[in-house]
Amino acid sequence: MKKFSMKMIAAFAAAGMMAMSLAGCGGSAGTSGGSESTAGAASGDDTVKVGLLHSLTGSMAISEKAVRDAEVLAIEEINAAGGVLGKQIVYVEEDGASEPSTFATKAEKLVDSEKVKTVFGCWTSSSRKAVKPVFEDYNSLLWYPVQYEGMEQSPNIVYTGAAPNQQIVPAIEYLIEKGYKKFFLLGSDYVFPRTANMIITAQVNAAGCEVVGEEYADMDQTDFAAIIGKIEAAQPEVIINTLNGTGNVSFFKQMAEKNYTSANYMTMSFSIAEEEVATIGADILKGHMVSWNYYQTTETDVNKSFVAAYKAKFGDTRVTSDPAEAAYDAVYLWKAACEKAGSFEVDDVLGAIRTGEISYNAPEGTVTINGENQHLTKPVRIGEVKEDGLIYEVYSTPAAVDPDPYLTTYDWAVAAGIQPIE
Amino acid sequence: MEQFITTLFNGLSLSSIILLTSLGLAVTFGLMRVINMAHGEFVMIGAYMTYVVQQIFVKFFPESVRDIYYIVSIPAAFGVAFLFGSLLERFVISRLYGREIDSLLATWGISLILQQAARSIFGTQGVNVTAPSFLKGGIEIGGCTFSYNRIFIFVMVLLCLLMVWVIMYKSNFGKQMRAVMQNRPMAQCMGINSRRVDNITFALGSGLAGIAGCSVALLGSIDSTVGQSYIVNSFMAVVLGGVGKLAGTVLGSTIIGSASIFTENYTSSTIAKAIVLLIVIVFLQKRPQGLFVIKSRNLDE
Amino acid sequence: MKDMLKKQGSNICFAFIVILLALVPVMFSAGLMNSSTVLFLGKCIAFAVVAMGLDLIWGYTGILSLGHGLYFALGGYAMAMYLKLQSTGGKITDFMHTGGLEELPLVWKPFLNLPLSIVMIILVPAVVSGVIGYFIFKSRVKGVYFSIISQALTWAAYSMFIALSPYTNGNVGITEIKSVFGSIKGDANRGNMFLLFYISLGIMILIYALCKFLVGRKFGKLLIAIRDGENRTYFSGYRVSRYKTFVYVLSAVIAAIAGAVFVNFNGSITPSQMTIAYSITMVIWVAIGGRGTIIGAVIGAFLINLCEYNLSSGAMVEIWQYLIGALFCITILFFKGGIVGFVKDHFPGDKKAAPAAQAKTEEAKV
Repeated sequence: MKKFSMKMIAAFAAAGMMAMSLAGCGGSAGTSGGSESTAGAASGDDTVKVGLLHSLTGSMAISEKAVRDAEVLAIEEINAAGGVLGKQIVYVEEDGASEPSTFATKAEKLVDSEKVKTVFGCWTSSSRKAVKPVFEDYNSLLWYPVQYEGMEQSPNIVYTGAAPNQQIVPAIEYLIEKGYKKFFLLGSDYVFPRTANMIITAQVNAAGCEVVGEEYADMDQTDFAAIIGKIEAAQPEVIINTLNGTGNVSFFKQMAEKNYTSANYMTMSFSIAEEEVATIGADILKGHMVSWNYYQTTETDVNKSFVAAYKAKFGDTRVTSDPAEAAYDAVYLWKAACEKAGSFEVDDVLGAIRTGEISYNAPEGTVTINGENQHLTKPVRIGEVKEDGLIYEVYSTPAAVDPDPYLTTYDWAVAAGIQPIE
Repeated sequence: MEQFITTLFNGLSLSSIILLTSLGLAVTFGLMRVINMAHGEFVMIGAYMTYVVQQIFVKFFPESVRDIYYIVSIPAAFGVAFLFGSLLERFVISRLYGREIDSLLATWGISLILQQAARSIFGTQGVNVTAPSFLKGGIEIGGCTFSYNRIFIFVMVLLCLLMVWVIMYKSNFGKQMRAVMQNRPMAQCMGINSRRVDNITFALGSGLAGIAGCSVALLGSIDSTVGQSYIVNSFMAVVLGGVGKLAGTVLGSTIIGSASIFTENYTSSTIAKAIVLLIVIVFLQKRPQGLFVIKSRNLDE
Repeated sequence: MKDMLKKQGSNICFAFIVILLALVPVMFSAGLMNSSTVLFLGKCIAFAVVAMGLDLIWGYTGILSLGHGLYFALGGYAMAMYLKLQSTGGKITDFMHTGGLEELPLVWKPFLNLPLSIVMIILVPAVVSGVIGYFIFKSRVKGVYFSIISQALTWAAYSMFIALSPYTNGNVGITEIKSVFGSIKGDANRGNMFLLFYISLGIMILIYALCKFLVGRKFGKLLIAIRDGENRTYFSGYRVSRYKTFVYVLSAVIAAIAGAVFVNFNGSITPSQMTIAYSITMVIWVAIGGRGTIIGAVIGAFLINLCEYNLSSGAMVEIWQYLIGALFCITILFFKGGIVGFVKDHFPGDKKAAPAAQAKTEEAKV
């Protein structure tokens, strides 16, 4: 009897859960599934709906949560200051679950079922590539906040992170200028490192320097002993590190246990921001170099208030980082574009963007959307990790760099034929 | 020569890490035939416990004694994982004995829950554990660097092995445990409380995973997905060695670990991983029971 | 009437699901449903198909494969390769160029025309599963050992697909493809979408009929015999390993067909479709729907996917994994027969089944 009643409770629990989720299904055919969160009023004419699409579960949640938080912060700030065109922003959140086809399904849901005006989302290139056709087919708008490998330009995406010539190329130029001659390329086995290394190889060879090794680690590699052995054998002067996520932690911790510091092997990393420094440990990373457009220590007035607001909302231990800042900018740039267009409709907003006059005084400095390729003109900064766990600028480009996702203005890139064929 | 020694050391080190993560499985899967897909999450619990103990030390203890946090965290990780294991056995596994595949699916659900719990409690971002000063860096002998940390893991594996061996073969409880696993009804007739034995055995396996978590905490990232990276290799090590034999698991881990490092020297790590797994699978065609076979006349063994 | 319900219960239920699905495009035309929902339900059809294949080998034959994502993805890739070449006009793709390839690699050549591609969708997984099945079942690897090996195999294949990025585009997979019938997005292409949806529904009906046909005859009884007493079946003079290999290949082909359908709706295929997690999720659809019933697989696939689709958004994003995890756990702990089993046990019309199911659990405990 006891067992029976237990079973009935379980049956009710399971049935309840299913009913709850299926109730959402019936609603999804209508205007909304009752799933939006808002800082202000409920639905009505005085709100505008946007979507947030990031991985909050799965392996990419490590990185994407911070970006999502920055977007929420920007939305709340804008709402507190009166909204966009007099309307409060309401956001609908979807979990991409670190799985590209889930991203595609959810993007479709946001754009088509939820009828959002724009979406802020994605981190990995695979998720962006999976949702790209969705935004193009439905003629909607995605704001993609992460630095990436370039070689892409969708009319329905605005890229607020760095194009390769705003992060990778200047960093390599800087290293070559500093006299580094032997490069070792280390990355995770996916599209960004592979494309980045293709660009770097062309650039390094054109400058008369040498790539002494190229290695790709498995995405969830935990033991780097063999790779470190290969680095030792190649004797490079600098390691160009495009490892992603957890691989960075394992790699640097295991370098440290072999007594290697930045004095033995200097590294230049493209995926290590303040968040990653905190998880690897500043004691291990101090002295290593990174390349981004923004650091928490960047000295602008806007940044001071951004950092303060971010910490006030999400806790004192949290740090801001380049992707988070780019995501924060994206929301403000969308606001600026809507205001210029005087409308929330995608075609009007895209029209405003393509004038090339949308700019925003961002924490990293003034950024402007390039009307032709929909990337941002932004400053580039080479930084060094210090013992306090923050990154300090050691060099910055004299002026903001115009985006060139296909690297067509670089002779060595054209000569090496790295542009896609189409 | 130097390179050879380094490769050897690396192989041995990776083997010891695989062994540490699969030792718990050798107990829960090998002895009890329970497929615990949440085993990786017990490794995660151990890793997070290391972090928690470190935070406690940073807050409440003077800097001079802070290094011993790591020593404290090992029993702490064992204890917490043991407790979780015991609870899991009591409420889930105990209802699924004889339904191996169902226990696999149910524990998969548990692993989803534990991962989300880690995200809810510690945030989605990874957390950092700083190696205690006595495990930082490595010792240089004739041009080769042997990291203290990896030597420590090696020692820890030996201690764990010794502990499991003593418990299994030298203690009264071990006798009861083996009796229950070999012939449950007979053991019950002899007055052994088989439910208690099951519970403690499973908890012991989980506790061992917790210790493994302690050591991987110093080698890599601590986040909600840390367990997933170890689980497949661990299962393969147990199956390759022969289920139910401790020595088999040791040999299985050594083969997988050394083969990985050796293959990786010649090819990329992604391909190396695939090659090693395929070799193991092909080997299991030849000897489906693994390297060490428990002799039995039972058809279904 | 009651008798008919008893005998034809699952067929009636399936017919009900089919009618509901057939109404989906109608509802869409009437403005009651969004196109994203239609496309999502199209993907669910693909999931239901792979779940039926899994039910054949797991529910009926007792072989738990944790690697059906591999076959699902193989079918998906084969389809996607054809569709990709359609969109590039037979020229080499971006990622091949980036990977340093000058011309179309040999493995891509068969995918230049549709009939050959369809043959490949079936042939490739059939050969792969045939070879694997032949050796594994010949050496009498069974039970959980098979599950662990299939899982490792999937992992190895996943790594290979990522490592061979000039041919497969690594973890980005093959993206930006249209369906076999052309684009299915937007008002102008509504006809294409309906055509694809109904063809997929037709495939689902065919697979269901095939599965029901197989399990309804002596062959099905044999599968159950293998599940419940492999050695006895062996001693009765049946070549168990051949039957097992056959069912394994069959379910792999079904999974591949499902993958091919999925790609048409999804517009891309990535290696994450062949991860272990994805494969286990597929098994869980079957477990929750009710193993060994075919209809249970269909119900489970639709229900769990709808749950995940609706739960992982809005205010639920932080807790949906708890709910899904708990749902898996509770169902498997307390309802061995899944939803179908629960209905059979607790509702009149099939009184005979209840004690039988109970007897089975008792047996399993011993």
